[in-house]
Amino acid sequence: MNDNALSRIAQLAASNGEPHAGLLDPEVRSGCSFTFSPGGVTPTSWPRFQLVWFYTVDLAKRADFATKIALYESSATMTGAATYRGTYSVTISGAVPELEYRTYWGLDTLAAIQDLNNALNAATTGPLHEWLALISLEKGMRSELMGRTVGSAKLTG
Amino acid sequence: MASTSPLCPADRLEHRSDLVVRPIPEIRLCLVYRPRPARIVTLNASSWLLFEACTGASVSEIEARVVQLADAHDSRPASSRAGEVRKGLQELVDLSIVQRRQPTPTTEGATS
Repeated sequence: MNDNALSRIAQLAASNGEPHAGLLDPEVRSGCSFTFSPGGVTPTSWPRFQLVWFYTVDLAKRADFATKIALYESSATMTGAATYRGTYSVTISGAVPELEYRTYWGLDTLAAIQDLNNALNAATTGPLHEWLALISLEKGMRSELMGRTVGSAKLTG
Repeated sequence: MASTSPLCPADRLEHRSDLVVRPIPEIRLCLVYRPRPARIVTLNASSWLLFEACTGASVSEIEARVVQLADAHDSRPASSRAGEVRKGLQELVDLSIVQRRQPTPTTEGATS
């Protein structure tokens, strides 16, 4: 780099004060934060993994949504390697109220996500299909796959 | 940040050759991608100036050059800037984006 180019940077640096260099810690938007090992004591009543959906429902459809959820929860919900663990509405949140609903799915193993997908795809009629159809497909909705901390590998993140 | 031995005035410094450097003068920053281990390092303009000055010159030569360049734009005393330069160079070495140039062996077995 020639002196002119260096001088231009020096000009930029004039109001900068002392030099500072630091590692950039990017916000993680996808991928795993923790890896998991088969170990860890997991009570059989607690799923090793949970898949959580964060979503919203159109204001005009919320009453219907609550009815459909009640109908689904009083029927035979999903069981097996993937289990239905409830749908919750946010009561109070420290975040901007955009995604007010959470649905929790329990997974015995990571492979059980395929069972869940199969069951969701197979639900073309019935209570499950009816409440799924009321979820608004909006930008920002997301899901998180979480593993129980007792099974997480150390020193990752 | 890795802990490295303190710089000496005679140490010759150069960039690592495997870096990807992306200056963003609009916001007075320079981003440096450092592979192995993969991280992104942000440099403010003062640190960026030091980084660009590390082309094989010695620490004392870099200090003199940077202080001289800054004289035209910075009204602070040169003595205070010299200390900052040394600290800033050390930071770049600790972050492994600048390294000490290995001495080149000569035919007589001495080094240059």
